[in-house]
Amino acid sequence: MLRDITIGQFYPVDSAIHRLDPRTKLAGTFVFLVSLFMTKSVIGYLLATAALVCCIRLSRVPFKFITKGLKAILAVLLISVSFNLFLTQGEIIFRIGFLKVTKEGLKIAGFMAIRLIYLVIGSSVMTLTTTPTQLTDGLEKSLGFLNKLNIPVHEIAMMMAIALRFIPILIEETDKIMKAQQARGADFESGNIIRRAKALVPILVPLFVSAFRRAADLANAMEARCYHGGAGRTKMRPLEYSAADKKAYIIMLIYILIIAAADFIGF
Amino acid sequence: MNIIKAAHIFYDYVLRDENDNIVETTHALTDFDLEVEKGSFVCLLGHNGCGKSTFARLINALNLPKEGTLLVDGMDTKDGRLTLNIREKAGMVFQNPDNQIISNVVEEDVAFGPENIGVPREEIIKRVDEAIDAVGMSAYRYKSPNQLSGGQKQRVAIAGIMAMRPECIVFDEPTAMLDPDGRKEVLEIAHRLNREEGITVVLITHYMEEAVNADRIVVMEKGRIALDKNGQKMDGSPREIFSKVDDLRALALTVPVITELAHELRTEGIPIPEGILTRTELVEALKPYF
Repeated sequence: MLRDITIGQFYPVDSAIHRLDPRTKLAGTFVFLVSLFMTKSVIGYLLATAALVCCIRLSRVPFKFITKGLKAILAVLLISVSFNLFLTQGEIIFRIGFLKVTKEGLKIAGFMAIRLIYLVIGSSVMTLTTTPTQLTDGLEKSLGFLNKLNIPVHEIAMMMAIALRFIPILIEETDKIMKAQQARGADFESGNIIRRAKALVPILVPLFVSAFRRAADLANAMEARCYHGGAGRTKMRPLEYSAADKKAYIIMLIYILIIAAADFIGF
Repeated sequence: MNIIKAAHIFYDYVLRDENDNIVETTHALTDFDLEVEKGSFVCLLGHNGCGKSTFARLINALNLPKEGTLLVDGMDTKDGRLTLNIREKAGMVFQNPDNQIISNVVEEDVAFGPENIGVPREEIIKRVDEAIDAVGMSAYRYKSPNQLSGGQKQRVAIAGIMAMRPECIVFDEPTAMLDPDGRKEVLEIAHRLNREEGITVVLITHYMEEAVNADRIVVMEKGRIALDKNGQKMDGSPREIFSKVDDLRALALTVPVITELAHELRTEGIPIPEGILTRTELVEALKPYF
């Protein structure tokens, strides 16, 4: 289950999407998310689907790899879909016991599911095509204006980058701890939810202890390498927009305008 | 010329309770003196808790001595304005390879140090090229550190230090978490950097075999340089130090296997010289008896 978390992972191939500036990709993802929540029309969803499929094809990341990330949100998806399905008032289609399914509920639940799935796929496409360092560089640069409000943008970006770097390490460690506890007879698979949750405690405690130890080590190593915050720092590969980025921005603009127009006309 | 000059250093670890009362004080370094010559390869040996890692942290100005002065290339570590210069001059490689790599791409991690000290862009690229090449990791330049072995990760960490163009590298048990192959890789690089780039190496280790090729060995005990039974400081060439087998044993330290074998043969009455360090030396010494 832990291995299914693809969020924050990078898929190393060379593609048009991979080569884009991270700021462009962030903006693109943002535009895509806005369009998903803005549109209420079928045409809008079709357009979003087309855009998503185009991006995935261009990125050369296998579709299977992208959808692996969906398993992690399956529970959230089921809960929100069933809430919408059963609790929306309106024209009743059929009943199962005290639960009633309405026409409106069906529609909302359907759209909700599509939105959530596209949301995860859309952001996975971004993280899969952007190295964590590029991603945090992009965030740092595009949110740089927040510095004026005394928000430590560089420090937050650095924390994100480190968190992303340590995700696979901590996953591996969790695996190791689980195996060690299982070797001593711990049981994570049987029993009801409460029992299983309780069984997680012997995993979480050592995991936290080790995470803190790693954090202290890393802080030392960073200091030893002259890290002293964002002031006076230079970059080996500073972000620069290319011609492809300009084209991408134009495509984004056209995309959002068409969706808005489709909604306005009311398809 | 001495790159590291420690005079009368004291350092305590203080354990306090919630009300800031001192519960326990551990003297990590007591009146410790050490001078390290530029370009030399010095090995610090000692039992757990003898203060050798503490000393490493002091060199890097991660901790400051309670008393005494520590000069790194003439700069006092107590002077806060010089901290970054000192860390640039004297890099440090830690034990756990995973916990000192910051980035998800080898190249970016190597660039972290020079970026921090504000090196211009073209110069960073040049330094990263050289540093990655110096540790033989060019083929892994764009790989993720997660795909590397422990020894390779440690080499990346060394490249990260090399990219800051240090004059001295302190290795704090760099091989403790590595398999024998990784251990060999890291040691070879430490020796090569010392030989070819003239970098002063301070190697802190538990493994006696790793100390055999050093220029000088310093044995530590209870926060100072250990004394042998004649009251002499245990500070000298590997041959001198490892000939004091009994003194080392008294400090709960071992000697390299070959040296131990030679020593046992000697105590059994075979007149071969003390302080044999390598297999070839032992073979040569035993030849007359065949």
